[in-house]
Amino acid sequence: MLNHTISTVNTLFSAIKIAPVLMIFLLMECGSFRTALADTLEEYTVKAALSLNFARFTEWPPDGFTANSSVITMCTLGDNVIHDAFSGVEKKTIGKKTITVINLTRIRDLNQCQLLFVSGMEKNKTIQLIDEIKMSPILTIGEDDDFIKSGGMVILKIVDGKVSMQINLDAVKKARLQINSRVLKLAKIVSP
Amino acid sequence: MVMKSFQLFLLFSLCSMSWAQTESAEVNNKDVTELDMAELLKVKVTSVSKKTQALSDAPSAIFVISNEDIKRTGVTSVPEALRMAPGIDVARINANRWAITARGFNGGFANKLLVLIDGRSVYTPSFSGVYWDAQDVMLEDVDRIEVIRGPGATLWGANAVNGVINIITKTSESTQGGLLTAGGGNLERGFGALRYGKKLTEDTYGRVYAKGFTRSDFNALDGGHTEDNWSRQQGGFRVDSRLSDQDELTFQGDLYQNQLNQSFLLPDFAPPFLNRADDNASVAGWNLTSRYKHILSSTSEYSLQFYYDHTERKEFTIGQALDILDIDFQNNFQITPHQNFIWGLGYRANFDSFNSTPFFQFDPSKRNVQLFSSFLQNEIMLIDDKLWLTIGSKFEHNDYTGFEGQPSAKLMWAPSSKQRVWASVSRAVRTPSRGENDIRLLEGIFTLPPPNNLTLPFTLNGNRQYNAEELLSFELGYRFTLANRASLDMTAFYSDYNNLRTSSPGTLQTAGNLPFFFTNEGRGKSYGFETSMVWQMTDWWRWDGTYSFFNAEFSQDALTQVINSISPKHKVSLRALLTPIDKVNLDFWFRYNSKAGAASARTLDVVPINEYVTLDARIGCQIHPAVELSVTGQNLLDSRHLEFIEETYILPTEIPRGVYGKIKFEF
Repeated sequence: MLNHTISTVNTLFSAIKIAPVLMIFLLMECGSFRTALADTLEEYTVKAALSLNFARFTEWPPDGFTANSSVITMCTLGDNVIHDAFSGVEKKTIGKKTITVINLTRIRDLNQCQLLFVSGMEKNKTIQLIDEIKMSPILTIGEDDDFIKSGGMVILKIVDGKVSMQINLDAVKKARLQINSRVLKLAKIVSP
Repeated sequence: MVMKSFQLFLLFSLCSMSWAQTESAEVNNKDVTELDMAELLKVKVTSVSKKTQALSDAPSAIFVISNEDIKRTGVTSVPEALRMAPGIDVARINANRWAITARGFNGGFANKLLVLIDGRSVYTPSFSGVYWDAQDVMLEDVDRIEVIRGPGATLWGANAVNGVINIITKTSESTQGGLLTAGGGNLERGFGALRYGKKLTEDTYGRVYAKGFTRSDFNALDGGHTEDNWSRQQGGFRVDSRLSDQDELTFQGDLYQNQLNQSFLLPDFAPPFLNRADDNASVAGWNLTSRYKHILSSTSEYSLQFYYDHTERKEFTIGQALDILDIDFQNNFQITPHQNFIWGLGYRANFDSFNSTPFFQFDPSKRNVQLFSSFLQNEIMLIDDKLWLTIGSKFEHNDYTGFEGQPSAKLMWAPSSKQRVWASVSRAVRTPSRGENDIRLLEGIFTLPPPNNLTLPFTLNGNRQYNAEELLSFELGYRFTLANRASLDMTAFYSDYNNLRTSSPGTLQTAGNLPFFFTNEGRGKSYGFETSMVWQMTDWWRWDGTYSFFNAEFSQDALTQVINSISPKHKVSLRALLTPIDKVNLDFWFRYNSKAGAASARTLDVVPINEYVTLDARIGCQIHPAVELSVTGQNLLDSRHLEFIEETYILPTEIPRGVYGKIKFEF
């Protein structure tokens, strides 16, 4: 038993000795993978970029920009993956306005947000959240059908490996927001 | 060995770092934010598994075993799945028993780990531990297993001393339709499971399941035959109902029975004072849980949970029945945008009944024990979305030691979206078990040397003055994610134990019985670190690795005996998850445990356990959208190896190599 174990350990030792060679091979693997990646993008990078476009093509009522009209505030409610993706749109400019991203780790001070991206929240909580802000001029973006059912405005959903957009126009209108018709043409208009 | 593994880890990190630089450069070259919407909607997106990127925001050492992990390793039980977690010591005793612990003190009766299945505690108050043979779930319906090392006492209460394991099953809504699995092999003689889920009304979903297996004997360490085969049948249901936008109700239950064989080495008055006995034991039970949750607003909710759990065991050495009634209330709300408050109240009643044998006796044979508990915890955001302080405490009253307070303070810092740093100080207690109060255990028969030639039964006895074991724990953790394709989680801990269980000799009694009594004379400290990493090397190849280092020191005086198992200093688990061709999964799982030791109540000694390396491999093929075939090989490197020796009577048993095939059909 002991001998057996020792011999197995020895075999493993020799296996580990060739590890650096293996590693070089793996590095090359990494390299070939990188080029293969050229036509694809990470899901949340795309969703953050789409959210930026919503900020670009949405008109808020004048009272939607309270303190600082030179800033559009995009808020996220999600994990660090979402935070990371949205850091890519931080400080982008739309006309004279600059994008500020606030990654909220808990639900608070939502009135500072012009746009709210919600990811991975329980259905019941989402319903409450949307209900609490449905009259506020905040463009809400979620990720699944339940989000629209809960009264959310936009969902960015993966269909066949691509992002598809659905917009709940009633909810958008109720919040006195206007989304540019060019965007509406690209989306599927739905009602809850 | 460990150094080598470490080099391996370093190389992985280096590789992914070089990746990090090149990738971010590429993204900059091709600024996604400059693409227009039509282009963005046309681009193919990759959804890298959340496991490689998402960092937990919990200020504790948490590791999550996903449904996918369970499937890909081919494990057939919850204990085997726990081998994936760092810092968890899983040692199989025989075909139907395991010794499982976190951060030391392992044993078949390990008592410092709390285990919950869907919020129901499955810990047994007779020894403050878990009878793993009685716990099973439909593995295909497990959503995840959360493994938390270190004290979780502030939220979960006494006995969450060194860790908490939360087994969480999927909601009925996500287990709709039928699922049938069947298979068999040399150790897994045969198994099958059937689940069917259905939408019952507009807002109510339900599922029912039934499963069963029969497993064959392992090998006795002495080369002989052991009787430890077992079979189990289990069924259950779950109903989830959304009563309104604000109300959710869950109702679930399980019913099971086991026929398990076990081989003992029992104390005997005639030389050689040990007698082999084989036993047909039966273990059965049922449980019902209901959980009601009401959402008051997006930031506040309360829940009320009720469960009833009945178990009975009939073994050659002891018979026992246990009924547990538990009610829990929890409420959380926001005081200010920067302060979250959570509090709760709980009540638990245990009704037990024992049938004594010459080996295990309980006096009194029936006892009702109650537990009242409350906790409060405040999470304060000190710097907006960057720094949090969590302070709280559990206050409990139990029938053995009265009031116990278990406070903790935790600090969490997010320097960037790619990093988390946390630190914590907590106190936890392990309240006495029924056994430590009331047991009389026949440990062995001793003969005094000539000229006396006396044979003396030597017993271990409960003590009504026995106190709670105490722990003061310090932890420091760091997590980070690299280039969205790799992440690393590290925790270091220092634990200071007081009032640890010892046994002290009493006076020789007239009946010729040499009694020892449970006492609290032990002190000890342990320290170590645990690390886990995930690396999505390519879209079709992922590495999951863990490494744990552990060391403990205990003090004892001349008269008392403190006998603790020695956990392996070094533990490594490395998994390679490959999808070399579409619809085919290939998995390798390598594990290494350095040498360890198993405490024996019979010899009052620690029996050495050799280091071992082992490998599992699985190939799974989706031959049809609804059908998956797989073959899993377990412990492939050796025909058999020893992992543990149980502390009382179980015949030392080795774990053989196993292979089984399985078919999964969804309809």
